[in-house]
Amino acid sequence: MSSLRRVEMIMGTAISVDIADAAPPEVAAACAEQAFAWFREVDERFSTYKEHSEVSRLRRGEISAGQASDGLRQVLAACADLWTETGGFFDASATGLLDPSGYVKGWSAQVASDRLAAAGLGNHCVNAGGDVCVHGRPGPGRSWRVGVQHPWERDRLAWVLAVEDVAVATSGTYERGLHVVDPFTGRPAAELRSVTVVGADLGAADAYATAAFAMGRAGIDWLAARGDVEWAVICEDGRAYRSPGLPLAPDDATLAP
Amino acid sequence: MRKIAFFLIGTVAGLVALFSYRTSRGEALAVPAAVAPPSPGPSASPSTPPLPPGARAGDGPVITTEFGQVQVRVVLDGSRLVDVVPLKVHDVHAHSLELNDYALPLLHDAVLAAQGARVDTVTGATVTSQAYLSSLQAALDAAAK
Repeated sequence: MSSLRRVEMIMGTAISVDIADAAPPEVAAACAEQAFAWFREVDERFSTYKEHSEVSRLRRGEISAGQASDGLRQVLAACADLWTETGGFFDASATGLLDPSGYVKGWSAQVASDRLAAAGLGNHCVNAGGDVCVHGRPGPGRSWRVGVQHPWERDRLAWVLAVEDVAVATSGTYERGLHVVDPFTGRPAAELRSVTVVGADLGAADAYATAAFAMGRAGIDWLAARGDVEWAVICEDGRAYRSPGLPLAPDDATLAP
Repeated sequence: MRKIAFFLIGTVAGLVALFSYRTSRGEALAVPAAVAPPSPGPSASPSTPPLPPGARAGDGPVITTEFGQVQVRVVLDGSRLVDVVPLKVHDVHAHSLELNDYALPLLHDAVLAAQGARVDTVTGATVTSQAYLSSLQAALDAAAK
């Protein structure tokens, strides 16, 4: 099976596209390029760092939410739904200014993955700065092996998952510091070190991971009560928790008898 | 008298539901659900203080609220209410019951492992473009090209 793997720096992070289908190389390359063109477009439209982006113009009041593009209105509506669903802990305005980045990265990677599948490339992996969409298989009879980054040891993994057709999102403080804010106190959330959520949709999984992170230890309860996701949490004190149904690879070291 | 006591229990249970939401999960789990004997002695629940001389205690019914189950013990001196002890309290979060039911026994105090294994990709906190260069994911991407 031929394979194509490309990486580009977009949205201030690295985005990897791995296509495992036995498609003609030029087809796989064209589809990968379309995916990256999509991420660049999303960055231009939704970045809070780009002065001319639609989100920046909305923040400055140059346009109203009603005047926003269909895409931005869709993102804002999804953020509003997730705000409700997470009891206010996923808050695109947690820092006072609208910042939908916490949803946009996962959502855009999910869209890219859906488009690859629709183009006939049903076996692929899209990794947008640590948030992952896998579709199909990396090879015959194999599952995608997704390592969960160890939050203290950079070259180690905390868990190894074996999955097909899921989204895996991780929220953590170990790369960029205490950047998740508890919207109810305005203070950085500091009880948890890493929250990983496995679900059907990367935009939602990413938002749930961020919300649980903002909740602190209560976020473990909140995730455990959800019936629609698997999860793994590492606290600042080094304790690790995971859902009973977390799809661990058979050789995951934590499964040792 | 008994009716008055149970009226008090019901009222107090409501108050406890309002005020006890910060009680830790560990405490909630440590308290036996069984009704303790209504007299002081060594068989009383370990988390409840000994009764003052002459006082007696009665346990209220387990009440299910939207936040979880609540049960209190009232301590009476004659007909005077002298103390209310929460026996069974919900956690800060609405979904603590589910966690108490299945998650905690399975997950409590798991040890964080550090493993190296062959993987296709890595999920983690968002890396900066610069930090990516020294990441596991970068090594995987480089190896696959």
